[in-house]
Amino acid sequence: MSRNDSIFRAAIEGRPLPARIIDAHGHLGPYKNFPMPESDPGGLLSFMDRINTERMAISATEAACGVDYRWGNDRVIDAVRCHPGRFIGYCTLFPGEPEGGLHELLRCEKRGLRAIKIHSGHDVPYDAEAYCAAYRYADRKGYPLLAHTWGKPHLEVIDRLARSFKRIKWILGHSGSCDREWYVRTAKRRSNVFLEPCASMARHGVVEYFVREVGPERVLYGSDSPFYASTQQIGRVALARISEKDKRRILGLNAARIFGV
Amino acid sequence: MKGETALFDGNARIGLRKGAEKGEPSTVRELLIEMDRLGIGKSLVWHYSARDTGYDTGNRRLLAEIGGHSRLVPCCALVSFTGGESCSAPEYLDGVIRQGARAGIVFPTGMNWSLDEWCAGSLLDACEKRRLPLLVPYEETPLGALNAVCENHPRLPVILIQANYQFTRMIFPLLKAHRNLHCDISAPFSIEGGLERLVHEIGPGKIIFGSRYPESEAGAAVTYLRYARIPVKARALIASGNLERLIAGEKA
Repeated sequence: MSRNDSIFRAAIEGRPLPARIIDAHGHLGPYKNFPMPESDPGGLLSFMDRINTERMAISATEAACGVDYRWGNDRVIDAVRCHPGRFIGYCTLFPGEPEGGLHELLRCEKRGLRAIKIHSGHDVPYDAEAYCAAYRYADRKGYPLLAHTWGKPHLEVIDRLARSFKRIKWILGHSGSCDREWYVRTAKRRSNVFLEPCASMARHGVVEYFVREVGPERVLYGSDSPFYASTQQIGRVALARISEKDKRRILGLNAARIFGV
Repeated sequence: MKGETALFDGNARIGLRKGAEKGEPSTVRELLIEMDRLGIGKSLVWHYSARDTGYDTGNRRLLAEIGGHSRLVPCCALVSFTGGESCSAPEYLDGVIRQGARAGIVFPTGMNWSLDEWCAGSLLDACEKRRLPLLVPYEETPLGALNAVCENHPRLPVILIQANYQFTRMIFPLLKAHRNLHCDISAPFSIEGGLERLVHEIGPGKIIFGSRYPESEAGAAVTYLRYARIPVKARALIASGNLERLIAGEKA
């Protein structure tokens, strides 16, 4: 099946892939724990071009892992503006401050962002009241929302939120990192849930499992670049044991539909 | 084909893995199919039961299943041989080498021993004397202990496998400090530009292509190497040249 497809051959040879690629999960900015020299827009673009990634949906590392969320989100806004057609910007919500929810979403929306990121690094449950006003607004707009997830505890909450906010497109980052059957269960229960499987461990068979269980239309390619190597994560899809048609959906067509690009 | 070199996977396994998802490959046949699919010419292979059941049980199964295979090179699990085992480290090593083993792998944390000299000295001496490359999984020993191993046994080829990408501030200087310390690129060593930085910091002669198959997708490791912006010669060394040199018993 896969050895004969053009995406497979390009990946095996290290060539730009002949597909529309939209990376649903990237990061902008440094992280204190280890060096990531490619965390600025130029660095991200150089790796994107290597694979032929058209666009990367990025969120600010600072807004997820630090406290200066406005500064972080502003960097994302700048990157989107300075590199038209290359980046999709997530507004990262910051539940620790009253103005970090809907207020911040509206501020970022005025400046061009149309997608949301939430991260458990703030130690606030995703169903906390601090998030709700932003969810209600995003639901009216039908915005995509990327949630950092890592297994069952997150998924139980997301399941309830996806039921309450049916028009939000819930993208589950790191799907299959663990508890893979719970990701499938959640996606089967909620048609507005999408699985994005980036993980440094690149566990065997995750992409194939998701395609088999929930269908290729519900799986999105994401890299977590530069935390993880996009040049590693791409192999999980480009060399997956699925059809070329399904690869194209996962690599970019699904994301194009979800992000409206 | 850009940079195409036959791949020699330095970190592949067979056998049933504890905690594996249903359907995870485990047989020699499945391994060879995946190798053919991805253009991997040879694999250095260890058996999961050598880690999860007992070193000798697993090694015997490994040698029975792949012994003599032209594309599969046995990597035997080793212990300190200080718990009253029926043979010494040198005796055991000579036995498995006679049967085709060309590398060893150690799990000191999981098997209740230590790589410190007072415990593992005779094992490490024996491996060093035979120039038998020793695979050390990142999670199995503190980096300080690994530093001491490399310092005390400078002619022992050591391959750090499965390094955690979040600890490059310690891994890079450790690799630089010891001529005999190498590392592979198997998961979770996954950071954007990480392979290029490794080549820049320590040179291409100490980096080994490894996949962690079947626990991790071998395809991910393949593209990590294929897309790296490194010289063609560097790619060839990482793809297979370095590991071929090490298992041939060349001096570290």
